[in-house]
Formats: sequence, C-alpha cells, structure tokens
Amino acid sequence: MNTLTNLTSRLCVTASTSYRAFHQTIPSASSVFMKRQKKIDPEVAKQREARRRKRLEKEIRQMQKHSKKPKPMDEMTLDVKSAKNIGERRRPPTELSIDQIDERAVAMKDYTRSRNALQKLDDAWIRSALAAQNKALKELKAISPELYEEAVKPATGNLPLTIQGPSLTPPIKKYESPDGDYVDTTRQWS
Amino acid sequence: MAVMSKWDIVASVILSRAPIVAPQMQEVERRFQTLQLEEEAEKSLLNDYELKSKNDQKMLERRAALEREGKELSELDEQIGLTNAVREDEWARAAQRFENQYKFSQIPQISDLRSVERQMDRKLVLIVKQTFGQKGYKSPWILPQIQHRSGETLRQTAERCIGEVSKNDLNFTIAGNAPIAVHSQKYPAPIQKKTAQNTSDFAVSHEHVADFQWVTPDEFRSTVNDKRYKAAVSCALSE
Amino acid sequence: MAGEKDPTLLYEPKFVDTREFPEYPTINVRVQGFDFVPLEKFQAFIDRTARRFNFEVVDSYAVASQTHRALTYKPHSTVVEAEMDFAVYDRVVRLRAVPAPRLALFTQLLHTHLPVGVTLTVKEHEKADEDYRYIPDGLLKQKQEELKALDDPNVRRNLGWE
Repeated sequence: MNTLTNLTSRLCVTASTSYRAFHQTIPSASSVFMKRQKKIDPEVAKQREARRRKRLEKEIRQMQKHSKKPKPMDEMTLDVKSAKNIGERRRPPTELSIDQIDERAVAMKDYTRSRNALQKLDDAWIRSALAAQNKALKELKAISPELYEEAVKPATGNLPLTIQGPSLTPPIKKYESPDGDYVDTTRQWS
Repeated sequence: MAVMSKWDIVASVILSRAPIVAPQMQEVERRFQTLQLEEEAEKSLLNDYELKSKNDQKMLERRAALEREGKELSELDEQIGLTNAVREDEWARAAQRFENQYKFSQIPQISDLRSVERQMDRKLVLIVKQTFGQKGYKSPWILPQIQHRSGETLRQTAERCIGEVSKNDLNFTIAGNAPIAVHSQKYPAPIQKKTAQNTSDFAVSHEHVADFQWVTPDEFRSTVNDKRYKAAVSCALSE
Repeated sequence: MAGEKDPTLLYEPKFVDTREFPEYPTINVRVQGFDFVPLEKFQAFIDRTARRFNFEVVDSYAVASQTHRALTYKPHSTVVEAEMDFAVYDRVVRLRAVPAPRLALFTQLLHTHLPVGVTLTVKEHEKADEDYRYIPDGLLKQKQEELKALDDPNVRRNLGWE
C-alpha cells in the first residue's frame, strides 16, 4: 500500500514536471515550423495572449530606456593608449616676447574683424536674395497663378543634393594612379 | 491654361560654374593661420611620430659616441632601424618626383574666354549673344533666355533653355523650382531666373547662340550694359 | 465672418497658418570631410545661416566617422608598398520648417562658403538617418519582432490561440 502511494505520488510528480517542461517551450514557440498546439479554450487563450503581450511590451519599454547608445566617436574619446605616457609627450614651455604676444593679439583682432565683415555681407546677401525672390514670386503670382503654384512646390527631384567643396590644387589630367586598394575598416555593428 | 496677360514670360538661366580650386587666402587669413598653427603646436602634446624622432636623435648620438670609441656598432644599428630623418628624405623625394611629373601646384592660366576651365579659383557665369532665330541679329551680352511656352512649369522652361543653348549633354542641376529674381522690360517682359551649376566640357549650339563667354562676376558687371538688369541678378553673383 | 462675431471662435482660438510657402518637412544637411576642425566650424556656420533664414534647427550632432585604409601595391604585384589609415568625419544639422523656394537660396550660400575638401549632402530626413547614429540593439529587435509575430495568424494557430 505504502509503495503504491509512493508510486502514484511519483507518477504525479513526473506528470507535473512534464507539463511544466511543455509550458516552458512556449517562449520559442513563435517559430512557424513548430508543431501545432492543441486548441485551447478561447478564454484561456485570450488571457495568455494578454499576459504575453504585456510582458513583451514591458521588456521592450525597459530595454528602450537603456538602449540608444550612440556609436563611439574616436575624435571625441580619450586616446587611452597615448595617454599612458603623457609625461613624455609634454613639450618644453615656450617663452613668448611681448612683441610676439602683441602680434598674435593683433592678428586675432584683424581676423575677427574680417570675419565680422564677411558675416555682414552674408546677412545683406540673405536679405536682398529673399527680397528679390519675394518680388519675383509676387509678380509671377500676378501674371500666372498656375506657374506660381508650380514654382513654390518642393523640388523633391533635387534631393539628395551632393556638393563637393573645392580642392587646393587643380585636377590633374592624364593622372596615372598607382596600383592599390581601399579597404573599408569602419567598425561594424551587426 | 494659356497665360492671358499682356506680359510674356521669359525664363533666363544663370548657368554657373563653382570654383574648382579654393581661392588664395587673404593676407589677414594667412597671418592668422600661421600664428594660430604656431600656438597650437606649442600647446599640443608630442605624437608618436615625434616621440620616435626624439628617440632616433638620442640613438644616433649614442652611435656617434660609440664610433669615436671604436666599438662594435652592428647591434645598435639594428636597434635604430629606419630613422624618421631617412623616411622624411624619401617622402620629400617622392613629392618632388610627383611635382615634376604633374606640376599640380600650378593653376593653368587659360586666357580663352570661352573655356569653362579658365579662372579655376573664381565663380564663372555663362553669358551669351542670342539670335532669337533671326538671321543677322545679335543681342547684347545677356544670360541665356527663352520664352515660356504655355503648359510648362518654369523649371521645364529653364531645362529647355539649357538644352537649346548647349550642344552636348551637360551635367547640371537646377536649384529648386522657384525663380530667384525678376526683371521687367518694355519688350521681352519679366525674366525669371534660376541658378544652375555644371561641370563638364561645354560647347554651344550655334542655332540659337551667336557668341558666348564664361565670365567672373566682376567681368559680368563690366561686360553687361543694362544697369537694372545687373541689379536684378546681382544676388546670384555673389562669391 | 472673422473676428469675435464668428461663433466657432467663441470657445476655441483660431490657429492661423502663417506659412507662406509649402515646406519641406525635415531636411538633413550633412557635411563630411577628412578633418573635423573645419567641419565643425562649418557646422556652426550652417546652423547660424539656417537661423538667419528663419528655419528651425532641430538638432545638430556628430556621427561616428567612417574609417578607410588605403594601400598601394608595388608595380605588378600585390606586395603592399605603403598603407595609410584615414577617417571621414561626419556632422549633421537637422532643419525643420524649410519653405521650398528658400532651400535653393540656402544651399547656394552654403555652396559659396564650402571649405576645401568638404562634401555637403542635403536630403530629406528618413528614419534610417536617425538609426545610423546608434549601435543597433539586437536583443531589442528580437523582442520587437516577437511581439509583432503575435499578430501573425500562423503563429497564433501554432500556439493554439485560434
């Protein structure tokens, strides 16, 4: 008798563990290739779905809070390798004469003044360009509203627009480039 | 949608070539730059290359001392390896070789007013003498222009204008849909303008154009006569 | 029928659309170059100029650089003669409320002031531009996909929910 209860109780235990094991496979059950489950009671299904969604949404919310790490920018981080022997890297201090200090200050002032003048020119340009365009659009509107409508539409065909800055030396005609390769060494994030 | 008005709309195009080479620095800029570089160098730390140069210096001094004493040098020579001074010589020679081969620090001076490659450090604008389909007629120097046809947008008119003026396929972009300025005249009426940039060889179609020049903004001001016309487009000519 | 007499204005204020022209929703102005000092100066210039045009500057940020290694080979072989590492630095200014006709004027001014060796790209903002700034989070993506999969009828059937 004793043995029998033992046996049944053990049976019971095995049954429950197998049930739990079955239950635990659910997280990976989103695979379409998984064997189809038995249809469950719709009420239970609804409950389970709600629970599952809630859990996932919460997890995603939590992760989003800590996610969004910007890619590291080399030019803005400390160069640890070079910082190790920073003592060796110091230059002997330079003594500047009064004339030198003055010269630098004057050059700085002159430069700032020239930049300020340029900025004023730019501002004037912006003002006059806006005025000229406004005048042109106003007259166009008076002559032909249809053309005006077309003219103020965003020119999406123009974008993206790429402009290359000037170079220091003119392009070389008949340049024979050496054999070689470019290897992209940008850090990859999978 | 015929445009019922006493005005004719004429689109004219400012076809400009951006500077290919950066213009020379002004005296103020150059002086500021040299002094600024000096100051930055003073405040900076030594980099790996400079550390090696310093080390090379020390090693060479030791080598000289040992040589005077007449000691074995091969081991030290191995340690020294390729000094920075030797490498710098090599680089300088390579640079000189390139310079001799290509002369790339010289900006070619092209005097031909019709060449799109003249005045590489300035902005250039195309001006033309148009015939407007009449034999024997030559307009004064103007920006290329064309009469607007009904049904077209102004942008399409501008594209047609560039198409008629140039013979070959031009690599250009028209900036936006909107005109940038207006100019009214007794006859040919308002002129709408757009900017465009191009970079490529340029040949002109002789059907519509009697003569053409690529001019800098200064030359534009001295070549084109009409004062009001110049004032209308002055915005597009800034450098 | 405007003004206080309009019954619709009794309880709700009237929002006047002051926009004169159609606008681009969001524009990204991206500058790239081999040296980040002039790049940052120019980024500041773009910002300043955009404000003078009355555009709204939403964001102005730096993106991780792209690095390349250039190799030259000895003639007729693949023995490396020289190699050099360099980085293409990346700065972006994001603008909003850009009236369509003004963009051409704005880019023209930027073009005039473009420093040596800097590439300027003007484009409409996309989500990919924003994502590019950050390290992609694999685990997060997986969870999001899992949540999405719950809407898939096949998955639901397999779970016994339908």
